[in-house]
Amino acid sequence: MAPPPPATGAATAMRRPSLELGLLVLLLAYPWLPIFDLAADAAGVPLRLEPRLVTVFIYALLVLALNLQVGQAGLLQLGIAAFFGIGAMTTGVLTVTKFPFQLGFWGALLGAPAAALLAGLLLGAPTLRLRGDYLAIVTLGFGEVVRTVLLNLEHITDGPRGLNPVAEIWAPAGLRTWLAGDDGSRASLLLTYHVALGVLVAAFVVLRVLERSRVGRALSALRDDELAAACMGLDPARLKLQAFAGGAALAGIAGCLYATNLTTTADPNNYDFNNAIMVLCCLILGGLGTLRGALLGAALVIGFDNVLSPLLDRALQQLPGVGGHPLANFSAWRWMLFGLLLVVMMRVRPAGLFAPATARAAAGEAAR
Amino acid sequence: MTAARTAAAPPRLELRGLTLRFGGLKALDGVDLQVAEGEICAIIGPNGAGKTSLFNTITGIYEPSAGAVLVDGDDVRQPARQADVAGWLGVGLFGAMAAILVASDVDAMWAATVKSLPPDRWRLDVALQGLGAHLAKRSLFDHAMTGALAFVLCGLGARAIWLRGRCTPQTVALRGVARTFQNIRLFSQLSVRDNVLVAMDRRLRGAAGIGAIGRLRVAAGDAALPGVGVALIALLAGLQATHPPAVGPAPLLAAVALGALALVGIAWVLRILGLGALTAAARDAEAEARREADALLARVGLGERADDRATALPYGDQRRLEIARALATRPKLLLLDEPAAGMNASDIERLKVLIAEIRASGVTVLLIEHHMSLVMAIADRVAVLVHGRGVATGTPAEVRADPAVIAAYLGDEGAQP
Amino acid sequence: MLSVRGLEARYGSVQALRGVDFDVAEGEIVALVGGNGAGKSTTLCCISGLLAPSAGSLTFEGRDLQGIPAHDRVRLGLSHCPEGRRVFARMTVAENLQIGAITRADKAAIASDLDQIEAIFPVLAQRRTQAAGTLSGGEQQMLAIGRALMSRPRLLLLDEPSLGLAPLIVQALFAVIADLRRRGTTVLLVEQNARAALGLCDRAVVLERGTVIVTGRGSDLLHDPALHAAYFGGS
Repeated sequence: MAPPPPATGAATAMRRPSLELGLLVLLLAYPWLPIFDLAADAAGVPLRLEPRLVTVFIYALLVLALNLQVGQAGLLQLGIAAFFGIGAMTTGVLTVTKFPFQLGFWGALLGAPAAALLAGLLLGAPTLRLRGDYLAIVTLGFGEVVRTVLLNLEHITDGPRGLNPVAEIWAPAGLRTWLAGDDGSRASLLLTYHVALGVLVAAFVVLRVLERSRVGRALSALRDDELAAACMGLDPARLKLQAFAGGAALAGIAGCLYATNLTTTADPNNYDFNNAIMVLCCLILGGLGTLRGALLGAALVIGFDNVLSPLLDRALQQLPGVGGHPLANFSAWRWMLFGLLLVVMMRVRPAGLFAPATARAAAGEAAR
Repeated sequence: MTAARTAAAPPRLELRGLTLRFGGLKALDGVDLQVAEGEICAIIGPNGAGKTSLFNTITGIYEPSAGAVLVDGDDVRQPARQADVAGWLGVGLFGAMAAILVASDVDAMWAATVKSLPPDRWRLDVALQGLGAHLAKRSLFDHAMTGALAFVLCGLGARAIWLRGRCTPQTVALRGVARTFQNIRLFSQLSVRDNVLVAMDRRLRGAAGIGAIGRLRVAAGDAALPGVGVALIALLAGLQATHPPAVGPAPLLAAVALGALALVGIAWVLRILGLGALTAAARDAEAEARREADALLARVGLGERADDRATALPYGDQRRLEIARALATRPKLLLLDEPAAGMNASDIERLKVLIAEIRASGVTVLLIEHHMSLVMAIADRVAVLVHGRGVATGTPAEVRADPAVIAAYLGDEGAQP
Repeated sequence: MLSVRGLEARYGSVQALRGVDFDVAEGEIVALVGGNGAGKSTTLCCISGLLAPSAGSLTFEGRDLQGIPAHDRVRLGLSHCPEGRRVFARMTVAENLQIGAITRADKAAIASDLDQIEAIFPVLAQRRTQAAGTLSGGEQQMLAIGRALMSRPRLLLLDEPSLGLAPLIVQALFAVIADLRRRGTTVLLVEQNARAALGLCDRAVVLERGTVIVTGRGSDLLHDPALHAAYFGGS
């Protein structure tokens, strides 16, 4: 048979890794690139972004987790924040000095996803048979239950105060010196930055392999037509449970990094429904079911909230004549602007920025 | 001939008094049918007679209200095995334990055990004493009642889930029954070849357990629960030994605990994420499956279109793809629901040849069809279904001559093939 | 009544129609015949507006159809009964039929049409209050045809109406189509059962790989030896 025509897929497959690799190298090197600092000093705006970028990485992990559950497996779930919170809280319990466990960050990095995975299995096993909208309600309820439980188990979680201090990332002294010389707090920051980035890259690679493997194909078939897939011998319950538990574990890892970055588990109210919706927004904006879309969505939304708006705030404050005016506060306007952008986006690209070609075609047909 | 064969072996498919009710409506009403191995059996009947409902019941989409479906003499609904019963009991016990814990106030229990002593002097034996004292705050009767209630509820819940899962499309598919659908149900997002490959997924999953990493993965999965247990015990022992600070085997025990937990965790991540697909054996299996898929597609005349999207095919080709997909499960029994619908005369000629070939390769065929020319040409036996009841069975010639069948179904078309 | 000139259509990179020309005169039954993937259904979709053609013109009663959306073409008297049933599964049979008459206001006429359709397909009368999704495949096909008739089209586009119907019902259906013509409805029919279609139609258009290869009277084509081998097989 003749070789397949040079499909666009082949061309982009060649181009995509290099784009992502370039971005990765830039992010890895960012802490040592003075150019941003110089530019920022010239503008009079402090521009050390590492802690904010860590937040972006953590949310990107959460969006990838949700993509596995909603995008790949087609399970509409609104309780991702619960698994995030379970991961963070487990990290707190396993590392703080007031409890005898004190496993340190690396122990918690195993313990947190294990706890979230267990919660995912316990919730998923009886409920994944429910149809889409019912599942959404059940997971929404689960999210609220977990938040309330975490608030009220005061001996375990310290309630609204949160557990602290959560252990820093342990690394050999040599590595810390190599990273930041004698500056101990900068070394901790850089460790957190690079570990979070490393975990994100690892998760992305694993999910990419998964997407292109037999399992990805099976999930795609299941999403298309569950009944036909079952008649071909696939086990829908098992596949869905795997994807759901896998996503929960990934969200648990994100929670672990979140608590480590803040050095506290924070108020359980942080892991509420708003959080889940924000993650879902990232996913839909980027393109449901695509890994690159998930990353892009997280970068845009969380970057907008965490990186861009504080910078704009400071820049506005320093503008002569504008600074100090009560309306010259970008943060106060940011969600309104975001909402408007989301509405426009849904009109222009209903299947997300990085929609798969097929989804775009389908959305286009529906729009016509 | 059939009598001799049935005496030697049970029929490939047997329906015994199969009845299916939707509310007050009886879609099937005591259908009996036997299909011998290697036979082509056709089911005809007016629209709404229950033909597709019959297929849906055979393939486990509906559970029959009464009667049974037997494949090679075995009921497709599996009876409960010992392992299943043990599973219900296990879930019940787990639920009972969880309920007792929750009922006795987890938070206070945490205070009584984990916080029994300051962390630097924490000891397992003191914590266990604290646990005993805490549990003693509730009477044994209360604990027992909580536990018993949760045991019954969780056990029954597990059984209910098992009952729903014992006869489902995938369990029937594993018995070697494959089907096509009247209203074509291809995987629209996938390519033609991937549609076929999905049907081979079961076998590919088996292949993921071959090879060094594959075996490790399977072994890790099997060892996960005991592994977690060992790790937890080592962890507790390590914790106890570490406070007061490290002497003797404490660091070693702690390392063992962490190591075991890490191994189990990694193995579980591999298992859950299905990374067995990365092993060399799985890659070989995938390549082999692709060759088999391409051969199947060539056999149904779609070899040229393997890379197209399934829904880009014209209607008749989609029907052929459905047949290829069903064959990819390597069935013993193939159910075809109106395979000739939407096909023109020359397509139907090719379909006749294809079905004959499928039978020659050892697959028994049961088909629903309105094209009488097809039925008359290839069926060994024809069963007529009217209002959910079987009204006649016989050779095509006998059925075509049956005045009742002509009146209910064929009309004067029956006279001309 | 309808004239199709140089019609082209594509799905992505696949060209489905490569210049199709034919006419349908008032009161005719015209059959579109051809093998799998010849472009029959695509042609119907272009005429009804479900698919935008990439080139060519469509004129219906002297009016250019370009730019008129599908739902407005129904008001012009064009009704399409698409392949694959597409009934509204959660509505009852009666509601499905009434949806078909959504462009009409004359209640009495609608009621009489409803009775007429139930007379053609008695099984629909029996199942009047049942949800359409619970009907069997063949019954849904009857419902889809009935729904298309409810808009009282002047040109009815039928895509494989006999699909999945029992022989007895197919005979009744062809009788209905012949009767429609007597009552002044023009029919453009796609049918795999070419023998029956050619026996019924006034004229047939044979499509192959997106172009018209032959047009002629149905009975003439039926006896054309070249076509016979390609489309009617040995049946």
